[in-house]
Amino acid sequence: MDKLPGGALARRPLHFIWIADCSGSMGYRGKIQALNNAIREAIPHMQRVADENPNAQVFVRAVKFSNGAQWHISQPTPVEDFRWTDLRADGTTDMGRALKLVAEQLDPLRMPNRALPPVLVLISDGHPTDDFGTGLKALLEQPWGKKAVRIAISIGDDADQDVLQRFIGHPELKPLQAHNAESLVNYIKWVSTAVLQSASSPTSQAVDSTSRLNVPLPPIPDEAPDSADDVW
Amino acid sequence: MGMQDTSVILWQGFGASVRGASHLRTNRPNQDALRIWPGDGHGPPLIVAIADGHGSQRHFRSHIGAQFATRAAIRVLRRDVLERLVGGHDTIDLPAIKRTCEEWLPKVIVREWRRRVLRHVCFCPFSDDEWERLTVTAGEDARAAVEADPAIAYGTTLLAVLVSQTFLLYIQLGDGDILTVAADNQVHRPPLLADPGLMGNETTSLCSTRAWRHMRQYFHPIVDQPPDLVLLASDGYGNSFLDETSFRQVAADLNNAILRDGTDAVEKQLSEWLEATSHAGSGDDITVGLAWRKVAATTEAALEQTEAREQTEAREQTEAREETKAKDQAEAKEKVDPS
Repeated sequence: MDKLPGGALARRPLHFIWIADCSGSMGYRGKIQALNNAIREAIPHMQRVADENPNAQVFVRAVKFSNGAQWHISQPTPVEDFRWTDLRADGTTDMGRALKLVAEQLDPLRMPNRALPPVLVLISDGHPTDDFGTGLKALLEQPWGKKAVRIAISIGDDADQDVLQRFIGHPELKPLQAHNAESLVNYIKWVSTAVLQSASSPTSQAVDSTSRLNVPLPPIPDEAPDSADDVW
Repeated sequence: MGMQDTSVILWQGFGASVRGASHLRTNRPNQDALRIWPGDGHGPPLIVAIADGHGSQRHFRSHIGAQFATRAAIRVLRRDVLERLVGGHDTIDLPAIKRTCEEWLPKVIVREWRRRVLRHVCFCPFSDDEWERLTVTAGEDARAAVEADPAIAYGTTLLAVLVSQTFLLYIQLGDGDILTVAADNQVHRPPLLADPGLMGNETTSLCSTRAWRHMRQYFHPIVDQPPDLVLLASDGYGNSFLDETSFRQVAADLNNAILRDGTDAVEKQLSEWLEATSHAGSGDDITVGLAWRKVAATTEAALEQTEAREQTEAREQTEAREETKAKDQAEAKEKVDPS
């Protein structure tokens, strides 16, 4: 046989989605610019991890939410082609709408069973101003929403820890607390590399095993002690 | 008096199991297993069984669990279905066999697997290193779970097909795929119930609570033409293809290759094909078990095959006796000298 048995081969798709708060408060004390810089800096690291895991095809995109929610980067973009466009801060915190947008994309008709569990990273500095519960429900009603690796990063002390914890849905994993640009960079780098690495080459596990996390997560970077650099 | 030549159905079982590309990169073993009975692969009766050990931290002995799964399936299908239900009866009551299989087969296979697992734990208790690795990588909850049920460490899937003169019996617990190729080269899936527990990297398992509830089976009486080929595959194979159509093409291509080049040639190349597929696809271990129906044969050929099988069985029984004897001696020695 000249060719391998079967039709077209393909790596397993892994969808990585940033869900970013662009409310007006993100404009204070350089938060939005710090987020833009952190994600931009993380891209080469993501590309390196993807390179080291050639059996996963990583696609990246981003949702932004303020007055309503919309796709900031709508096309699932192969990580090797991914470029970051700066976000701008303005308006309210319609987080629930953002989760609904993501839920629509996790429909099994759009994301086949052979995919790897998606990684969803929610970043916020405030309290939802819309119906967060309905958005979360829509997300968790999708099988891939339920199976997704859901990480939350809170920026500053004013973020609603309760809603971020509900988004994560696992008591053993807490929202990551960024109080300055440096810690934000560290957390963004961690999800872009260590979490991506785990999600790219997961091992199987029994569905009723006691682990509540679908993908075993690597150690989380230590939270820096309170310091004079804490500006958020 | 010369033997009358009439057409009979003969089957041949073979397969391959390869370590996945990502397992090679991360130095993990092949956690799949493949086993065929009888050992020479000629039937009917023929049993092909494959298993896919889960591989995550809490299932740290799953490569052994997969081996036990294929052994357990073959033992139960051979002893309880072929010998007790089919053998020794003047007439074969297919509805009764089907009903009995549905009622007790899942529980018996799960029980047989657990018996082997618990026996292994008894003779090879978890080491301090294993406990430490489990605690560090999966946490105290995982350790508590494995302490409560050591079978979790051996978690695995199981797929098997039993091919007899009068029926085929497919069983599946967990992820993986079963495909059949009909005489017109169309590829089908046996109508097994859907398992809602399969998505991403999660699967139902032999180590699941009340695992027998997750075992699916399909009893196929041979009333007209049986399939030309039955393919069992661990999920690393199906996950390597762009879509269902591309994956189904595998079964048709293999059937054509066997018809064109013969089983020996295909068996020889199979590992290489699977390695290349894992490399360009999922990166996971891939195991394929095949049961191929020979196009035609004569009663004389069937007789030769029966004789060959009887010789194989005699050899297997001798080996099993020797293995048991060696094990008993080792156990006796261990009792005397635990070091």
